[in-house]
Amino acid sequence: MKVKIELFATLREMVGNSLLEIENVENVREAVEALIEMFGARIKEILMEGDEKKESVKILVNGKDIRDLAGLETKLRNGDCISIFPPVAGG
Amino acid sequence: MSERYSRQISIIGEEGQKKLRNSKVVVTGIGGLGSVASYYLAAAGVGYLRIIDYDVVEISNLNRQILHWTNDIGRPKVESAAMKLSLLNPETRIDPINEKISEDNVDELLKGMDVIIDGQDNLRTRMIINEFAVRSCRPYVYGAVYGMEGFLMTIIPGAGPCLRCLYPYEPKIKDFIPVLGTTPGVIGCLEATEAIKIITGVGKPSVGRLIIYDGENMSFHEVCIARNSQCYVCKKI
Repeated sequence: MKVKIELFATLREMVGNSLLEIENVENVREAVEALIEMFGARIKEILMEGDEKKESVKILVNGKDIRDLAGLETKLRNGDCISIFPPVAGG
Repeated sequence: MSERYSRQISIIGEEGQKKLRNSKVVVTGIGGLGSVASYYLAAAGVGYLRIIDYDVVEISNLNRQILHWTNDIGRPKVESAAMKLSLLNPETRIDPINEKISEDNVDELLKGMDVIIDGQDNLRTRMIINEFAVRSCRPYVYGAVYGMEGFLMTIIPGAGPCLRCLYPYEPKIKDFIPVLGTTPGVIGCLEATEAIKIITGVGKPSVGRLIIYDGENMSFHEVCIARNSQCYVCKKI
């Protein structure tokens, strides 16, 4: 099973890529953990507060906020697209 | 009606043009976003345009803040912008205010405006403006940029989420924000479009829909943002 992860703003800059593809993850938590494994502590610092997602970070699955789904436990299906972005404030 | 607006009257009608002429819009910051938004609002014939900023023009602004030119360096931004906007459209009354928006003065600076346009460069002031917009039931068009990405959402209090629903917490954001000049050009233009639509009643504003412009891949995304029932700013309206 493959899912896409689309990153924006500082996350994109940090990872050096706007779109990633990862395999064998069943839910959003596993996808986030895979990202952290790939890119290390700095990305964890932006995304997570202990075991939970930081409130300031938006994570969407196929355009829907995981806050309105099952949070980090939201199940993923083959081809799903996860979008992640921190608050954007430049003007 | 003036020939100046003949190309748009076929879209918004004579009535829409009159509504623009009778409208009051405030642009909160006259940097990258605000330069472009205010330019198109003046060009469209908004009758009263208040522009608020407390900075002076710096050379590093000139890649994106198109109302400020090389010979404006060191000048207050509102003065530099007011001069160009007045020349662009003498029919628009430009009201430049050289002040920083804070919790203490936000009511005085923004009251009586029909639409509030975001031209800020930080989340803190945006949240102050958002709270004002919600308690006074005024439309607020949020726009922000980072690098080659831009974000836009229109807040109509009571009809959709507010900025606090979108960002419940403000993280520390680094001071240096990279911006390709065209990015606030795109978003500032969309902000002006939203204001014109709200005033004239033409079209459907982006309420509850976060528009993400990705300049790197040249694509637009639309994300549904629901109201947060726990939002301390807008849950009661």
